[in-house]
Amino acid sequence: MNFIRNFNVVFSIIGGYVLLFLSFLIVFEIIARKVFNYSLQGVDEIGGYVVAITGTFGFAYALIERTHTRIDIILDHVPPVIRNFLNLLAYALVTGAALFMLRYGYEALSESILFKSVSPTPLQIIMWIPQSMWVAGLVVFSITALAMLVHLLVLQFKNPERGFHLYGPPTVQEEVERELADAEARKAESDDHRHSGNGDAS
Amino acid sequence: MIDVAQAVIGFFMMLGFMALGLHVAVAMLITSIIGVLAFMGAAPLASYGNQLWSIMNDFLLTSIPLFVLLGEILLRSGVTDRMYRTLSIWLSPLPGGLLHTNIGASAVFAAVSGSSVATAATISTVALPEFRKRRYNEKLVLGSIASGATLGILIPPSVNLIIFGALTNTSIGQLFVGGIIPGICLTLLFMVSIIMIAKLFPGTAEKVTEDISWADKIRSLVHLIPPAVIFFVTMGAIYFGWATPTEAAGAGVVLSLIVAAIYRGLSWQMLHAAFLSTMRTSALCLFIITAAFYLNFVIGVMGVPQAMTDLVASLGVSQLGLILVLVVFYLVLGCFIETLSMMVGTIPIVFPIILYSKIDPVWFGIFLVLMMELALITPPVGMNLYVVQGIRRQGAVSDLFIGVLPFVLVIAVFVAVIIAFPALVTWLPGLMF
Repeated sequence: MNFIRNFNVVFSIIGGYVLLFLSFLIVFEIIARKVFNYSLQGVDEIGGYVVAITGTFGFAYALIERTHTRIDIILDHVPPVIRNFLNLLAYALVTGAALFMLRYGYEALSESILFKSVSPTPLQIIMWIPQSMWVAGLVVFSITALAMLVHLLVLQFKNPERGFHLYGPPTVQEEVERELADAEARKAESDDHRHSGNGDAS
Repeated sequence: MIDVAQAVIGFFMMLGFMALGLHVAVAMLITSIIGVLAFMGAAPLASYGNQLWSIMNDFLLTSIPLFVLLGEILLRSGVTDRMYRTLSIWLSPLPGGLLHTNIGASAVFAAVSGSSVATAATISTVALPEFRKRRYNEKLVLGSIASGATLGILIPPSVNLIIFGALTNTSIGQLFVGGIIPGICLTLLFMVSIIMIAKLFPGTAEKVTEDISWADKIRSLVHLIPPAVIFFVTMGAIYFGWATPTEAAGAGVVLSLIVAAIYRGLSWQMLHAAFLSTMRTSALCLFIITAAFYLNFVIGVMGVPQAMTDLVASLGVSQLGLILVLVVFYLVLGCFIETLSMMVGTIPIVFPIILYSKIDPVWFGIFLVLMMELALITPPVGMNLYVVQGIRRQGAVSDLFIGVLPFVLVIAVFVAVIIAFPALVTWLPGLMF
């Protein structure tokens, strides 16, 4: 599982750089348009592709980090056996959903390849190029979901408690701890800056 | 075609799937697929791939990861902590003292970001130690943090408003501008209620009298400049039509990088942490949005909007009557369902009725966000209550229930105010270029 997590982390960091690059492209476009009356043409189109592609890779990363929203109103109040069954069901169905998206996403891609589709814009992007990366994200999403499902299934026999701990919806406390660790690290850092006299007025 | 009873069964089926603990987006997708199979057979599913592609590749949605990234970079740049100190210098002489700082800092932070949880966590780590040194009613302190953090989804840029706009084809620029006056009003009302409590119950919250020279006071204002610049550049560009919301978000990201560099908060480590957090948060939104768009499409093809509007027409409900029904509907739903899921899950059936009744879509968007704010701080599922409680690590969560009570009342009153005076929401967007 660690391998799959690290793999997703790497893709997500790359995704972040792509978003950052897109922001610079947008700023360049705004300035060029306002000041020099010149437009790159199609920054919006590229933006759309960036979000579609980082989106499907992000689905996988958010899944393994358990960020996708789940409602634990019933899970918290049923006996462990039912709770573990419902948790397993959730992963079976999210895997199903990922494979469903992959299947039809792949169909859309093969149509684009078959008909040699080109975007009806000045950029005339050959559609299979962004679409194949988008489908690659769906592949990663499906593999991640499947791996989690299999691991959870194995844990049902070995240690169901741990299975729920690892793959159940994160408790508020866990989410808070994550945010808090970040916030405290930042606070410590800004205190350091102040003591070393880095231009803080107060 | 489908009748209203079947649509309602479908809606409760979806809520049921959510309650069983499925991923919310999966619950919506399954409901859509069941709807398609039950009423139209398997054939329409064939176009799902192309629909998924066109939803995800929508330029409007590009603004979501960009606004999230903007907030993440700014949050990690150290600007929030400094901003809190500046605001405490300026606001704490008011009756109610430091409590105003919680509200003010949340509002300013909300103006540049959108995450309630992150806002509550950041403000709490800075604020709670300060409060422990002084005599304050703890319940009220906690309540002001939890409530202040809800301002983030109302004050633009708000990811929730982008999602609402994308799902209902409402101008995101207009929604953002529509959120400005209600955001300011609600912030001020929160503060007024704190002043009233401080006056009525002396001893709950003291004024803070620190000897800070005017020169230092003025100098501290420098820390409000970065959020102010980012807010005015992004919102100004949208308001005056210089840039689309997505372009404004991109410009905001670049500005936040500059701010982080000035504060020397920029490092590879910080940047990567911001990236990872951005990918998680925007993927969470995007997953729910793709499912909601498909649900919206399926519901539309099945004729649910027509059936719903026919029903409302036959009942002859007035605009006001309809709005009051929706208030109750969202209050009840908000007790059980997470807020984003509540919004996107109900829009497909509620929005056609809104259009039919000639209720302004921008007004409805702001109304819906106010109902979400209420849901965030009302038990049993009020997320913000548990977040603040989690940070506090002691005492009972029921302290929070009492502490937010004044603010719950304020939001409820404000909902009544915008129902009575819709122009509070619609006036400013109407002036837009």
